[in-house]
Amino acid sequence: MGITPQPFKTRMLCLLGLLFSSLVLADSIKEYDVKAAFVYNFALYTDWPEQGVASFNVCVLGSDPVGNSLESFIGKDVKGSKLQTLHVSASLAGKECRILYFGDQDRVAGSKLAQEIKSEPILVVCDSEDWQKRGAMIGVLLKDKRMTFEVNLPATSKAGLKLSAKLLRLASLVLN
Amino acid sequence: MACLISRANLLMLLALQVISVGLPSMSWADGSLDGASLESLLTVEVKSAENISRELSEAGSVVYVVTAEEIRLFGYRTLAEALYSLPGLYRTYDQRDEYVGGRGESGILSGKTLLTIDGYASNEGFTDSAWYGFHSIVDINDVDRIEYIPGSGAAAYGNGAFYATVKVYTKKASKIAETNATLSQGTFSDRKININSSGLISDSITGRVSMTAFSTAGQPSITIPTLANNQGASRFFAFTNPLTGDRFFTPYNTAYLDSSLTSSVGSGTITHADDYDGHRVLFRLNSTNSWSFDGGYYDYSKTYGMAVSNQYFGEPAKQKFSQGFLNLQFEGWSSELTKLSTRVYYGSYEKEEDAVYLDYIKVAINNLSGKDDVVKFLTVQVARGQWLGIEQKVTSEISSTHRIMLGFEARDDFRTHMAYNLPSSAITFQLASSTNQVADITRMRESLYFQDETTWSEQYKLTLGLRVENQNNFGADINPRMVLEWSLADNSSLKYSLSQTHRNPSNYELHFPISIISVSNPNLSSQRGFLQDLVFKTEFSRQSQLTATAYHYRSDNMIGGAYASPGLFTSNLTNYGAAVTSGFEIEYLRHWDDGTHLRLNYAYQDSLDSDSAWTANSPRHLAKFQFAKPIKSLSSTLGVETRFVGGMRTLEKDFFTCSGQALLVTSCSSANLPSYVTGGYTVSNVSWVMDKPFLGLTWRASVKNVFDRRINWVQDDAVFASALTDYGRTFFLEAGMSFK
Repeated sequence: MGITPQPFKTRMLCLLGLLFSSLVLADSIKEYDVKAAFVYNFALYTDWPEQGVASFNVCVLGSDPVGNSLESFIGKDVKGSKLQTLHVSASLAGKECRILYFGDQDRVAGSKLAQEIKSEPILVVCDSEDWQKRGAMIGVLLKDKRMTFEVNLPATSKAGLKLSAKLLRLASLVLN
Repeated sequence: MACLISRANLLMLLALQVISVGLPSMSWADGSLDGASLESLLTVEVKSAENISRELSEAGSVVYVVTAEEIRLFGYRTLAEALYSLPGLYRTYDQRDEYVGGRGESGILSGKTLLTIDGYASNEGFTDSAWYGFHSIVDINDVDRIEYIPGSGAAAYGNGAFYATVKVYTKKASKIAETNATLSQGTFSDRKININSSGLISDSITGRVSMTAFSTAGQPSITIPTLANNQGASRFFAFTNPLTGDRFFTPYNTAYLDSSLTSSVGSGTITHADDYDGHRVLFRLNSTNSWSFDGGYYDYSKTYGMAVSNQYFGEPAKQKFSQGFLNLQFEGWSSELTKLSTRVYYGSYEKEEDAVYLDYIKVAINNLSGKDDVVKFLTVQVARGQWLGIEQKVTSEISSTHRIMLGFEARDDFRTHMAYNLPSSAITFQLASSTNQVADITRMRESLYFQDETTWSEQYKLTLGLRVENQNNFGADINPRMVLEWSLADNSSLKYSLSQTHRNPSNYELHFPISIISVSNPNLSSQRGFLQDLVFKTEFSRQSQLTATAYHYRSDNMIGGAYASPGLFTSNLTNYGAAVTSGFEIEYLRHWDDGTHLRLNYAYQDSLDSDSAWTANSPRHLAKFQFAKPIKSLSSTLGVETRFVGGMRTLEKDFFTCSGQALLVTSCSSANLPSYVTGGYTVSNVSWVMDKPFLGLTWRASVKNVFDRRINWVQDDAVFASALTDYGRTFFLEAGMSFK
């Protein structure tokens, strides 16, 4: 048996509950939402060899929360196409992805996929610190509470992708 | 002791929370980044969701993880099997269900561990257990990740998390419509079909539903093994007629009465029933407005033939279970660095067991008069429970070096009904029973908890936690915890934690009208634990890490059976003595870029029971090897596992030899019993997964126990045999199809 029971006041808990309830929930921006917005912007500032497909597919590996955040961009126009998101697992076969996104938690499977599609016109984005080693073309990184991105230009060129000058200018690091 | 909150107040509070927290959080999430330019995004101050929401409760512990990918690669069929790959854990099986043992407790992951499913604490209100085997509430197909957090979680979660916490995260709903179907077929007519579907329900709500049906004929026979000990055989429960000297061997329906046997030592193979079938449904709704609603239900029916709790072997018993839950959660941010979450939940549980028992006294009387009639009787046990709860917590990053968490939880087990239908003609057990064979119990638990995490010079971190939990029929208990963490060079850290935990006796232990093997005791007091953990972790790279832990656990006031019979063949549940376990675990984990995976671990545990004897069913050595390698030429991944579990001491089952006393044994100290030790076993499994569809289907297959090694499951008090032998090599093949 524990310590001598002390009868708590019912009111205390109810008041505590009301205190929590009365907290004003302020607007704020979550990390995943910002990453999703970055991915959408990458789509806007990149040229693919083949334009004007019906569906602009952003493929998200595994269950990364960025996938859920990206869903608020579904249907938005990207160079004349409608943005769609697809959740993928081990293979991109039949998916027609324009962008592949994978998070740090899926970096091993992401590396494997990135290796398989490195010559295909698919922009690979990753938020892992060693994004370059993982075969990604753009790394989205959190530094001092702000999001930055880095670009591997040779990798995008090899895949036949052309990044806009604006994108390259705003990148914190461009590998040539 | 008065309840903190009446049921009416609990419902009112629940409604208030839903309204007051839900609505603002919806408006919060409307802040959209849809039109944000690249330049503006670079200036946005971002709060890291992972850092804020990371559970402070995990601060002092090692967290072992099994991912969905590992489940896929190695063909795990149950939570227990997946957990078995982790350091220091092992499975046991008693014909009724499979259990997971570890750190000195053979059933550590049932009655003394909290199992959460996406935040919902799934332990039922009858025995306070969670289930990890075939009648787990969550299907392995729906699991995204399993986290095993050894050590007490009581400072965060209270009563249920005595030795460990297991968190299961299920797969998330996707906005893109997708339906998957898998069908598997395995040994012993093992069949399972799972269909899950997810997609968009409205502009802001995604949903996922998963349905599973499974069945098996079960292993056709079991073996009571010959054990490596001085008498060369397993022991099983036996009684001696003090007048005739005849002995009863309940596991053998053909030899229950055989005066030619002079010892209760035996081995052999017995044909028996082991079939089961069941269904599961799991659903989940996620809103972009930070609320989620999930629920699940399963029913499960199992036949078992092994004599449990004096059961008559010739008549298999049947158990039926069902469990359901609904869980509504809100999350929002009161400021940039303060997270608020509210959870309301409902749960239900039902169990029925029909079993036939031997009436020993009548058999003995018949025997005296020269008859050898078998006198049996049918019993029906029923337990039903429902509960309702609410939890609310605030986690706030006060500064870059200081975080706090404050919360409360109230759970009302407002209906627990227990009944034991025992025919009045059954002399043997009427002697042991109370007159009341029905019990209706209510239970209310309320808790307040607080945790404070402070970091100094980015090298030292101190976390203090405290949970005060009040139970209406027990009073308040305090569960404190202190964690010191040193961040070392080279991505290494060292943590030391000291915690005190408690476990109140369950409704079953306190109030169940009668059990054949043990009798409930309303005067039981709480079990207490004093736990120390030391965790060292180093990351050699992002791909490889080493974790080493050492621990020392002391458990006082343990709850269990003592052979002080109120009747002839039963024992009281009582508080007794202390158990002490010390040990260490070491694990190396590595991933390669090409998808190759390696997990290697070893655990040593030294556990002493209340008689300072080696704890039964507690192996001292466990070692696991897990390796998966993609084979590109075959578009497949091959997985190999080898698991070694060292020898274990069995429980003594023969009352006759216990302390040299005869039928009425008043004290059965394990220290006085002969030592029976099962041999250790090494089991290897091979899995094969096709990485690309073939014939339009995904494929995977596993062969378990490839070399057909014998596995001895040590049995607990309730089972007559000291050990049972597993079914050897098994396999399954699964085909899947996706529709998008």
